Amino acid sequence: MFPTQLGPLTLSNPIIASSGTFSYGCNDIQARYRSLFGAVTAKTITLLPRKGNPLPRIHETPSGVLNSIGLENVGINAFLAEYLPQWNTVDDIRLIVSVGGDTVDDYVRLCRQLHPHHRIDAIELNISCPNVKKGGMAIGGDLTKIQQLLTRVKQITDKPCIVKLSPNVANIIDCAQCCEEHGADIISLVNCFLGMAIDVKNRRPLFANTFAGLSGPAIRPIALRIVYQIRQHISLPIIGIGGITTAHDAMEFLIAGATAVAIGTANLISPHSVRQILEGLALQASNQKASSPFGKTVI
Amino acid sequence: MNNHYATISENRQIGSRYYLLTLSWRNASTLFFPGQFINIKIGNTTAPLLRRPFSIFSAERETLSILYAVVGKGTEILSTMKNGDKLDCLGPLGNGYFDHYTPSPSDSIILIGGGTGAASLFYCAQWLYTKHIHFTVLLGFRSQDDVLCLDLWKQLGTTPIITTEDGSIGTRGVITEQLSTNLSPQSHILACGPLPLLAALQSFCSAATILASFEGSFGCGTGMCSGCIIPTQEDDGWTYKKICVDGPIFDLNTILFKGSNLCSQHS
Repeated sequence: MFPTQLGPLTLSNPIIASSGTFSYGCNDIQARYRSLFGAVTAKTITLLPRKGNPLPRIHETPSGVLNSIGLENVGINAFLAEYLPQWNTVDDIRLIVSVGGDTVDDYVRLCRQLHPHHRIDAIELNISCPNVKKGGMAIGGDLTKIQQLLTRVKQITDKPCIVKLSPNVANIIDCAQCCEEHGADIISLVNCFLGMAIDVKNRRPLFANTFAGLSGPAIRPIALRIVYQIRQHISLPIIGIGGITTAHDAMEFLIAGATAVAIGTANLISPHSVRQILEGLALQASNQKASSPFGKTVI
Repeated sequence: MNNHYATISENRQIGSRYYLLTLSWRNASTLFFPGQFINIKIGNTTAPLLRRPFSIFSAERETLSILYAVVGKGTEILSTMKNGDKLDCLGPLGNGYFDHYTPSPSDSIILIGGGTGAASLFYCAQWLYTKHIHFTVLLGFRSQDDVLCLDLWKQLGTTPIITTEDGSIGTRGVITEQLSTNLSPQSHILACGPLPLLAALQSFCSAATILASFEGSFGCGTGMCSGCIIPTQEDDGWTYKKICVDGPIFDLNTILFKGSNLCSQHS
């Protein structure tokens, strides 16, 4: 249904599971639904295992979710030993491995370790996580660091390289253009917006890290605006992300200029959201008597 | 786990703050095990956005029941729903008490709970009753107003030992004070209740088995997001486990209360 060419990646459909919302795609429930996606982006891995932030990690807001997971992950060694082998029997979906680090060196070391593994179809550089004290978003707004990162990563791997951008920077257009200039294959945007909540009873920030990442339908109009704006300035394929829960939402992003879309909070609400979105897209195509409900033209 | 649009057959208020919701669910007593939960999408809008988890109170051949208090927007909406309305449910989810422990008729089994924690223990009791396995029930509450469904417990051939903090019914005090007369090192304890109760059980209780049900602020309930973590002891240190998939039932002795902010999170 709706095969999609996302730069160098061929997807069976344009719906991708966003990093951090589908774990490593290996437990019973994830295994049941992963084949419905065009691609799954695994939870961001780091060089060393990370326990992540203490509770609370999740807080519902009007039509949204604040999360402060803190890049909890098993570390690259355990990922390669325990989770990647479980993908060897799954060959109809693309696997994107997301990586995160404190420094450019960290990202490069991760990419070097991932490069030999044929099952990994692409690497997503998470330079936009709002929930860690170092790295993440701190790199995502720094053009010099983006240039260094991409230059070095492209020297050590020819795997398609996706850069996930932060909406919490003043210069996201410049960042996207810098990515294109220095060898990124695909841009994914956006990661979560920086937000916070206050514990009124105890008169202090709810989250241990003070700030947290906002996602879900509340951010969709802003994420959509960013995708539309970036589309005007770069020619790289874009994965549109931000509060997509329905086929209608997906179509907005695809018409605005994304080549594929990723769903995140939607997976938390229902692991079968991807099926509902694909069925909606098929219905749309059927109503339009078209092979695809969305053209490749950008408004 | 399945996605089931369950029809409400009853949603009645009991006591001053609680509701008993019964859903049609074919083969519920075969599909669900004591300790497991369902995750309900309340309404079809984005507010509330996330599903709400509920422990199973009881399961029969064609129905499933949950016991809930109105504590926020989601449960407030739930309390207004009528017979014949449908609810978008995911379940069964999580592990059950009897994934950890296989009871036998000769075992000394104690079910101990507090507040709405008593709800998940009821299905435990129902399950043991159908297998002709004897158990003792200890339930603690703030006041008489919180004591629910005593008539249903009695149908299982048991009269719970009750404590209330204000002494309005049963013995005045906290339920852990009733443990010593019922406890032996060979006892198997199945617990569900507020974190202070569970922490107290861990600190002074010695038994063959102590299993407890934990709650958390779930993001997904299905192991996707790592939002519902609980610190647990490991051989070489400690780690976070996910309540929704590694639990909600845990060996109480592995849970790290001290030094974590576990007790500052309300369920």
